[in-house]
Amino acid sequence: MTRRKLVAAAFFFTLFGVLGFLPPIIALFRFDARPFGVPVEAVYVFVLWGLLVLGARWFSRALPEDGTQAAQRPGEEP
Amino acid sequence: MTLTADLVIATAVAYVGLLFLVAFIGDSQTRSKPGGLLRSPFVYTLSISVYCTSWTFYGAVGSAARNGLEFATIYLGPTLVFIGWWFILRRLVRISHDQRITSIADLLSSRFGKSSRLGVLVTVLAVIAIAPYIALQLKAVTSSIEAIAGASEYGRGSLEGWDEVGLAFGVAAGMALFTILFGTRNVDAKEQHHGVVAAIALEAVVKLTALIAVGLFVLYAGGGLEPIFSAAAASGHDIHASQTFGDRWIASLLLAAAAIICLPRQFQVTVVENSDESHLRTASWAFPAYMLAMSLFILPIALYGLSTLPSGSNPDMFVLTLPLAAGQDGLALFAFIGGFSSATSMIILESIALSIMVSNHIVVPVMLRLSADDGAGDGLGVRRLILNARRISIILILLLGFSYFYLTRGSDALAPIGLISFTGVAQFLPAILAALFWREASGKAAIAAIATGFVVWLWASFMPSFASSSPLVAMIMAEGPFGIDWLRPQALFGLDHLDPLAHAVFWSLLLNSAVLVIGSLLTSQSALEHVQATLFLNATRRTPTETSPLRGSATADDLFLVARRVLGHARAVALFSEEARQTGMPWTTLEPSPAFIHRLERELAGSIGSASAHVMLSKVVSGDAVSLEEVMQMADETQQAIEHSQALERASAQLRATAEKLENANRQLRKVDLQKDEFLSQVSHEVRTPMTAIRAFSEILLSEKDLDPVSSRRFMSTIHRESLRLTSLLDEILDLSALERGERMWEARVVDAEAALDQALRVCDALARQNGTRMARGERAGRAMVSADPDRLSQVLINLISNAIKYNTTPDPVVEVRSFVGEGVYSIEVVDNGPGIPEEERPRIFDKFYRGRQGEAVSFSGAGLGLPISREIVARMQGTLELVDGPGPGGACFRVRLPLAPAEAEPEIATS
Repeated sequence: MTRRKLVAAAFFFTLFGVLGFLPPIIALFRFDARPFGVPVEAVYVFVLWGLLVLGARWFSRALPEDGTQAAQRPGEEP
Repeated sequence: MTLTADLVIATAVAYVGLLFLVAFIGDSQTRSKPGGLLRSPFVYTLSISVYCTSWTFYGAVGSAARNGLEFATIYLGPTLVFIGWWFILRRLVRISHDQRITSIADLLSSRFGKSSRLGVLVTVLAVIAIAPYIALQLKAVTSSIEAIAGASEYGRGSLEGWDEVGLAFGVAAGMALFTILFGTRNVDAKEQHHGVVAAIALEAVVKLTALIAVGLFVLYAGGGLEPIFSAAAASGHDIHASQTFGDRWIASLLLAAAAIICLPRQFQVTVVENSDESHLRTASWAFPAYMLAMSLFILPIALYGLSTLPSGSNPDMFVLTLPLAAGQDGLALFAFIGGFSSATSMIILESIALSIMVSNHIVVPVMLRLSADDGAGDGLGVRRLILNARRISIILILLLGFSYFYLTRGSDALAPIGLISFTGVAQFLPAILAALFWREASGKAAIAAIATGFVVWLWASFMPSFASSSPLVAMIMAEGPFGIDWLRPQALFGLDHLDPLAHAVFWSLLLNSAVLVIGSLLTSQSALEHVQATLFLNATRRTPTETSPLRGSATADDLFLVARRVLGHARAVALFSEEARQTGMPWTTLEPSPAFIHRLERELAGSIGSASAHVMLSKVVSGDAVSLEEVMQMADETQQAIEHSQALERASAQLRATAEKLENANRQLRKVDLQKDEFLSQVSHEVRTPMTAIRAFSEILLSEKDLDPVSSRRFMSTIHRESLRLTSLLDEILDLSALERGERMWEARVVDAEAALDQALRVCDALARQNGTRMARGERAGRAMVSADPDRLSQVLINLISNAIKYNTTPDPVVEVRSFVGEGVYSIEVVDNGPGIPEEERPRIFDKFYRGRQGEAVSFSGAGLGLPISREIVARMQGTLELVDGPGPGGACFRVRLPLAPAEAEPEIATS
C-alpha cells in the first residue's frame, strides 16, 4: 500500500471505530442474548474495543515514518 | 491483619515516600543516562494513563452500578482519539516540539498570534473548570478513608474528631505539600518532569494491578461471570433494562474524546512530556489497551456489589467495601492504595500543569509589564519568581478544589462531578481543532468563542451542581432567573427533553463553535497570527519552516542578560558557548544570528511560555517592538519571488514552443528547397531533350549542303515540332508556377459546367477517333451552375479525357464520362477501362513531372504537368480533383467536384 493509502486507511479505521460506538449501530446490539451470562451489548462493546486495539497496533507499525526526528527539533540539545 | 484508619494513613504516607524516592531516582537517572528506561515508550504510555483517576478506580464502578454500560464511554472516547493519533495527537506533538509549547494555554496563545489575552483567559477558565475534578479526587480519597474507618472495629483511631470536611482539608493540604515538593524544584527548559513521570508510571501500574486484583477476587467470590450477571438480573439490576445508547451516551463519548486532548494534565503528559514522537506510536494502541484492562472488571464488580452488599451502600466504594465485607483486609488495603494512587497522580500532574499555565500566562506577563526596562529585577529573580508563583498557584488550585468539595458535599456520586469538569475543558476543543486545521481562524473569534462556551458551561453545568447546597440555585433551576422560563439552566431556550449533561454539552459547544466560525469570518487576523497559523498548518510537512519575526540587531550581551535571568547562569552559558563553538567566533564578538535568536526564543518559551518569551526578547532585540511590517514585507517579497519565478517559467515554456515551431518551419523549408532542386533538374531534363533534337537536326541542315529536299523538309518539320513542344512545356511551367503563386488572374462567373463538359468532349472527339476509343455517354446532370472560369474548366476536363484516351492501351478502349449533382456539389467522373494506375504510383500521380511507368511507355506523352495544373485550377474554384476507385475492376477514375453556385448568386463574381 502506498503512503497515502495507508494514511487514508488509518483515517477510515478510526472513523468506522467511531461509528461502531454510536447509535444506530450500537443500538443493534440491544437484543436479549447473554453469551457466558454477559449481556450482548457489553460483549459487543468490549470485543469492538479489543479489535480496535489490535488494529491500532497494526497501524502503529504500518504507518510511515516521516523522518521527523532530524527535522523535528533543530537546535535542541541532545 | 487488622485494618485501622491509622494503618491506612501510615501506609498512604509511606507510599507517598516511595513515590518521592522513585521521582528522585528518576530525575537523577535521566540526568546521567538520557536514553534510559524512563524515556521508553511504555513509561510514556503509563504516564498517559494518569487519565484514569479515582473517578475510574471508584467512580466507574459507581457509574456502572447506576447507569450500566455508560461508564465505558469515558474510556472509549480517548481510545478513538488515540487510534486516530496520526491526525490530531501527532500534529499537536509536532507543533509543540517545534514551538516549545508548554501548556494548552500556550498552544492556543501561540497559534492565535502569541496572544497574552487568550493565554490568560484559557488559564483562568482551566483553573475554574478543573476545580470540580480536584474536588472529586478529594472526595474519593476522603470517602475511601472513611469507608475503612467506618468498617474498622477499632473505630476511627487518630481520626477521632475529624469530620469529612476536615479530613478532605487535610488530604488537600498534604497533596499541596507533596506536589510542591515534587513539581516545583526547578524550572525546566522544556517543562519536562522525568522524575514525576516515573512516579506516575509506577502509580499507573499500582492502580491497574489493584483494580484487577479486586476484579479477580470478585470473579472468584461470585463464582464466575454468569452467576454474577444472573444474580444481579435476579435482584433487579439488569443493564439490558437501561436505555444506555441515547443522547447521554453520545455526549459523554464526545466529552471524553475532548478531555483527552484538552485536560491540562493530559496535554502535559501526552504532548509536553513527550521526548520522542515515535512514542506516540506505541501509546496509540497501548493506552487504549490499558483502559480496556481497567474497564474489564468494572461491570462484574458493580453488579456483584449491587447484589451482595446491603442496599444503600455507596456503589462508588464497592472496590473497597467488597473486600472489606469479605474480610479480605490485605486486598482492601491494596485497593485503597490503588485508589490513592489514582487520586494523587491526577492531583500532582493537574496542579503542575495548571501552575505552569498560571505562572507563564499570568504572573510573568504581569511582572514584565511592571518592570520598567528590558528585564526584571536582579540575576536569578525571574526563576525564583516563577517557582514561587507556581507554588502559590498549586495551593490556590487545591484550595479551589477543596472549596468546590465543601460547597457541593451534599451530592454523593463521583462521576457527574467529573463530567462537569470535562464539559468545561471541552470548550477549548473547537479552538484547538481550528488551530490545527483552519488557517483563517482568528484570535479575536477564539477568545469570544471560548468565553461564550464557558458562560454557557457556568450556567448550564457548573452552577446546577450547587443546587443541593444553595436554595437560590435550586430556585433558578426550577423557574429560571427572575422567572424567565427559557433561561432555566437545564432547559435553555425551551430545550427540556435532553439529559442535563447532553443539554449542557450541546448548547455550550454549539454556541462556542458558531461564535468561532462566524467571528473568524468577520474579523481579520493580525500579521503575527497569520505567520503562526501558517507555521501550525505546515507543521507536519517534511521540512519545517524556520522563521523568526525578530531581527538580529541585538548584541550578544543583551541577549545573555535575558537568557541568564530566565534560564539560569549555567544554562545560559552552555547555550552561548554552543553558539560560539558552532560559529567559530569568540564570545566577545559573537553576532547573534536570526536563527540563534529564534532558538533562544524557543528556549525561553520553554520556561515562561511563548507569548512572554516573545515579548521579553522583542524588548531587547533592536530595542523596538517586533517589526511586523518587516515580516509582512518579507512575506511580500517571497510572494513576489514566487510570482517572478512563475513568470519565468511561463516565458521559458513559450520559448520552447517557439523553438519547436521554428524547427518545424525549418524542416518544411528544407523540404521545399529539395523540391525546388528536383523541379529544376526535371525542367532542365525536359528542356534538354527537345533542345538536343533541334540542335542535332539544325547542325545536319547547316553542314550537309547537298541534302535532298525531302529529308531536309523532314528535318525542318522535326525541328518545328520539337520547338512547339518546348514552347508548350515552358507555357505549362509558367502556368503552373503562376497558379501556385496565386498570380494568375481569371474571371470566375456562374456558368453551366455541363456546357464546359460538352465543349471538352467535342475537342477530344477527334483524338478518340484517332485512337479508336469508344466514348461511352454516361448519365448526365443536365444543368449545373458553378462559379468558374469556363475556359479553365474545359482545360481541366480536356486534360482528364485526353489522358484517359492516350494511356488506354487495351484492345477495346472505352472512356466513359458522367456527371451528377448531390448535396450542393457537382461531380464529373472520367472513367476508362485501361490498365489503371498501380497502387504504389497513386500517391505520386499529382506530383510535377510524374508520368508513371505507363506514361514513359507511351510515345507521345506530356511533361507530366497536366494533372498538377488541373488540380491547382480546380482548387482555385473551391473544388477537388482526386483519383478514386472506379466502378469496374480495372481502369482509372478521376473525379472533379465543384460546389454549386448559390441560386441567387450574382452572375459575375470577380476573384483574383
